[in-house]
Amino acid sequence: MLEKAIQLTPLDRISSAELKKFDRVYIGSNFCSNLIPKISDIIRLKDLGVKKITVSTPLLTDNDFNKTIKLIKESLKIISKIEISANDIGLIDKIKEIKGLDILLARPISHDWLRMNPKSLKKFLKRFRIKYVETDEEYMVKRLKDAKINFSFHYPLEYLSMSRICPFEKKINDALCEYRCLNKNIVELKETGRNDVIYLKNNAYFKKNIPVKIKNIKRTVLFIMDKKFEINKLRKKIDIIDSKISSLLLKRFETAKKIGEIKKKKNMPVKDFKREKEVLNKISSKTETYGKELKEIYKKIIEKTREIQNENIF
Amino acid sequence: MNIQVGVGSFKELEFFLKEGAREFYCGLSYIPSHVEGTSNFKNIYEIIRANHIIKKEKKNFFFTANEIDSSAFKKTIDTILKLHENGIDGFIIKDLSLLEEIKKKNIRPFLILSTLSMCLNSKSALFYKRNYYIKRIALCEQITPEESKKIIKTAETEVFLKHRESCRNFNGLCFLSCHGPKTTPCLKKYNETFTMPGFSREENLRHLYRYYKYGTKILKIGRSPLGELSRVIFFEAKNIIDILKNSKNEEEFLKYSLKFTKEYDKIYKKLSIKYGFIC
Repeated sequence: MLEKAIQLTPLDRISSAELKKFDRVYIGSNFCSNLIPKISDIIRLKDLGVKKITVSTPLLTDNDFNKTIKLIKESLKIISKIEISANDIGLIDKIKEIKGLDILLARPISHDWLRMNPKSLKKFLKRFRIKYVETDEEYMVKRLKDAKINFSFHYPLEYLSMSRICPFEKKINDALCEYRCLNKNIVELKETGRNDVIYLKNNAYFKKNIPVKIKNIKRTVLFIMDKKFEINKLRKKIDIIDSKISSLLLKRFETAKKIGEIKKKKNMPVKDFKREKEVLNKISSKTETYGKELKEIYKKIIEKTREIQNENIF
Repeated sequence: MNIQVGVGSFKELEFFLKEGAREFYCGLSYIPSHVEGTSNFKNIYEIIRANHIIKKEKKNFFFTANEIDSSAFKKTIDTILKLHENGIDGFIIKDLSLLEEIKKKNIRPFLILSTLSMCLNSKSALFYKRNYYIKRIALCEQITPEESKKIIKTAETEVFLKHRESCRNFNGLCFLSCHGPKTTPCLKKYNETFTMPGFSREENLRHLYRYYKYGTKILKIGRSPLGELSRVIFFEAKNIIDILKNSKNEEEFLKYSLKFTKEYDKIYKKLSIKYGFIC
């Protein structure tokens, strides 16, 4: 029976009702090292009722290698049976002995291996205990239809290329990421004067493909391209921004509290009109678009800060 | 740091030997080796003859078989065996099944793991070294010297002169519709303004300095279908190595190499107009 899976990154948010439409969830990315899931992402999926989880991992630098091994070992404590979709030969070689782990040969290395002669390919799949070969190439599955190799077929995007220098962050994947890719679920790229479209997702480039029915394909893996999903991603971005705002506000309150203590020692009044005006003008001058809104919010922040300083005095 | 350069004819070989290249590599048209349209020796006997010339100068010669598929497998392994028998130093390889076959044949040539092999960490490097006697690794185009430190300690390494490389893909293994320097899709503009990002020239030159300091021995000149272009890149590389050897620190290297490469930009500009490629 054909298993239906969905590919998510740790940044994607999807309702449990939608998740129920799939037999399995892939979490992570085979292309971006900033999208290696955390153990909390695996726990979240488990809490949402997901029974079958595949962790997608990218090509790894030495820094990411140990992090990934740790993630795999911790995941096995939570879920007794887990799948790793891996494209790093060092990782595949290292994890092949771990019990309770199924290994999938992921893109882009699978693109390469599928071009081997079938006999050698089968030997390597056996040696590395590879359960499924992940692909998005209909042609390759057809070519190997008699080779008794099981495929997991990704759609509607077929891999073309990848850059470790993120098109959104403009820096190498391993650097600190601000997840600017969240602004767009997918970017359509068109060359002037040509009709064919390249699709950019995170740091990888694709063309469109369609799911095919071939007996060797045991699983399909869907990436959702629609706009509704984009709203969910943008909401996730708002979650990240909110988390930054709240932690910065907490820092502001703590700093203001210290000022309150100094004011108390020096018998100074809490309210300082000149300083408050200065802060409000500085904030509203930062933007032409939302100056008024920012001023209103800051009035409230100053009011609450004053309350904190007053609490400290009395 | 020494230069490894691709050759496809006796004329090219003579030129680069005279100009001081330390290592040479070549391909054969019937064995896929990644770059379309590059000049190649006509047959295996020409390669054996070229090897004799290179050996007289006490320099090294490698054969590239780094993008083979199942249809070319037998031809490739036969060619490798024949070239090995005739004293060629080694082979540049990506394919795991080819490495396995070489191991089975019980021969131990100097094997260079192609940049197309996606080796980004020392564990992968060690896997290739222990299982397939890989001696040297061609580092991926998009890996930083800091990320490569442990790989450099694991095996010999070589790097491309990255600021003149035409691929934007992380290691050159790319399925965009690319047919040589005239169509290079990764360098084109999409949606009027978008281009695939790559390292800046400054970053690439800083990387080169650090690779050199960390112990990378070979600077590799990628093969180009345009012989004139290869020659210009070779001279640029040669001069950059001189600056590298004579610079007191990274900033000094950067200052002089940036100034120097800008001078070369004018030559590339002229060549791009002449041959119609994107630079």
